[in-house]
Amino acid sequence: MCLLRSFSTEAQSYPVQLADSLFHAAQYEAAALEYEKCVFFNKNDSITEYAVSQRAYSFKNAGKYFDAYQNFLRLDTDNYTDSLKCVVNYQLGLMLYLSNYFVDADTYLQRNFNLPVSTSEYKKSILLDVLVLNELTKYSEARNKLMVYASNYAPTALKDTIIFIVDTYYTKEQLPHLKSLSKARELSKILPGAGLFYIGKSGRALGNITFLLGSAAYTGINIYCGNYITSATAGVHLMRLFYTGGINQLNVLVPLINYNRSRIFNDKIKSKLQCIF
Amino acid sequence: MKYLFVLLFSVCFSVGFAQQDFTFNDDLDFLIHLSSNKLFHESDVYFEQTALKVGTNIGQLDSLNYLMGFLYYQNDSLKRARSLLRNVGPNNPRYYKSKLYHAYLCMKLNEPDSSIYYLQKLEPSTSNEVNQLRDFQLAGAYLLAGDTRKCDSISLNFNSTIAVLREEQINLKSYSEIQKSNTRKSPFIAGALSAVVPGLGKVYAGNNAQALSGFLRVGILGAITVENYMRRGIRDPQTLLFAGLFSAFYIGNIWGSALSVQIVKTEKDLENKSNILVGIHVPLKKFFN
Repeated sequence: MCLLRSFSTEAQSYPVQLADSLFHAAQYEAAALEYEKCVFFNKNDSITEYAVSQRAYSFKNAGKYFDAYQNFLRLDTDNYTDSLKCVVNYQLGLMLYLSNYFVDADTYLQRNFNLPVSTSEYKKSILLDVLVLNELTKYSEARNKLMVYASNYAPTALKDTIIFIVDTYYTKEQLPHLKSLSKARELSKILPGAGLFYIGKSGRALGNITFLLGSAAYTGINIYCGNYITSATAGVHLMRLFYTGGINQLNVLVPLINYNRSRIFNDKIKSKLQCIF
Repeated sequence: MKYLFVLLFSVCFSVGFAQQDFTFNDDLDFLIHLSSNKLFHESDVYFEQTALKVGTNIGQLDSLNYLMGFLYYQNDSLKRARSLLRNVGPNNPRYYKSKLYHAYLCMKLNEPDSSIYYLQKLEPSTSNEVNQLRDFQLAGAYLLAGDTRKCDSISLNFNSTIAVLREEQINLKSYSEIQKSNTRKSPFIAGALSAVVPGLGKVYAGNNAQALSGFLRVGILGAITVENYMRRGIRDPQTLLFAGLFSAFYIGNIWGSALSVQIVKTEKDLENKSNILVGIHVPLKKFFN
């Protein structure tokens, strides 16, 4: 009867072999579904945890990074060792980074820095956090992180390369010059067109000033000619349009300029760090 | 002893295989699990796998369609829910529920004509309440299709024994009246009124805020044109510019007033349609729950 019972219990668990074979055959979506079946039909915690993590890796390999993140999140890490927790946090951070959720990615990576480990995932977390901090335009923090990696964890052969990256790219001249939206708006409020000059859009600034002066002149001429209704309605309306238009276009232009500038720098650093990864 | 061992071995072996071989209920459980976790793509894939599995009979397929149809419905995947509920066969105990929900989903997806077609095709049930619900839905579908006459003719026979249905039947009659009253306003009258006083046509259509805004725009442009005409004469370019703008806004206001009758009517129709749909859904939900 004991034998029968053991057979029965064993049989209740859904086998992971099929899912594993699909995974190894690079049929990741089918493998993910099979792993979910294993999770659902198994009562054994270790098999369930294995299936969940494999499901996450299936999604990762299929390029569905956010789905992978959601599955890594299902892992019950409370009973994990610190090095395993580090692996999970690194994967969570990586999946969020690849899904463009940089603030959340940073949160998971920060968790790793509180763990008393120095595994390969821990080291990779530092490098990944450099990329995340770059995306968050926290360049000085990214530079410090890269220096920490170079001095404490980098292999001897790569140490010089990393220090070279820091010295060459994280300098005042090389870092992207980002513009402040609030400053640009304030400037344009005080002196129309000044905000556009500040962000480097001189042509637009001159155009804005010309139109504004033209509408002011139009209003003035109408007052001079005694067309008070025309100046008070059409003239003032035109002036208001060009004044507020000059300020409001900054809301679109400043983020666009900042994005383009940081993109060039971040991509450059990403390509440099890829070889170290 | 030898026979006992063989017997024990065969029992173990058969138990093992029985557990490995998934039953239809296991598949259903797993499908529910996938859908309730909003893993719709995977539940679609697994649904196909289960439906195509060798040995799945028609009754099981019906159950699959019913179950998945309602899961999709609860997760607002209405088109998929509709196609699944349509496939539930007459041998399923929840056949009428599926068919009435299918008709309701056709209406919700703005296809009242399909709803009418399927409700007319639906054979009468042995349950009087189900037949009353079907007639009520049919009247609602006619109303949504804009056929108030047929809706009213079905409504004449309304004498439901179900309290919630009785209440909604009364509401449906009032929605029918609202729909009739919505068709009475004329775009020509609205245009003519706006030609006399800019914005008046929009007041007639029931859009007072737009009426005031239109009146002010046309009025100000008119005042500017008059001022320029008085001071600079008719040949002055600024006078001509503002006269042109005034004409454009004046004609635009007339055109806008005629259109706003239609827009206001559409808005009221939409509100009425949404009320009708809620009215159809309430007894359906209460009756089958």
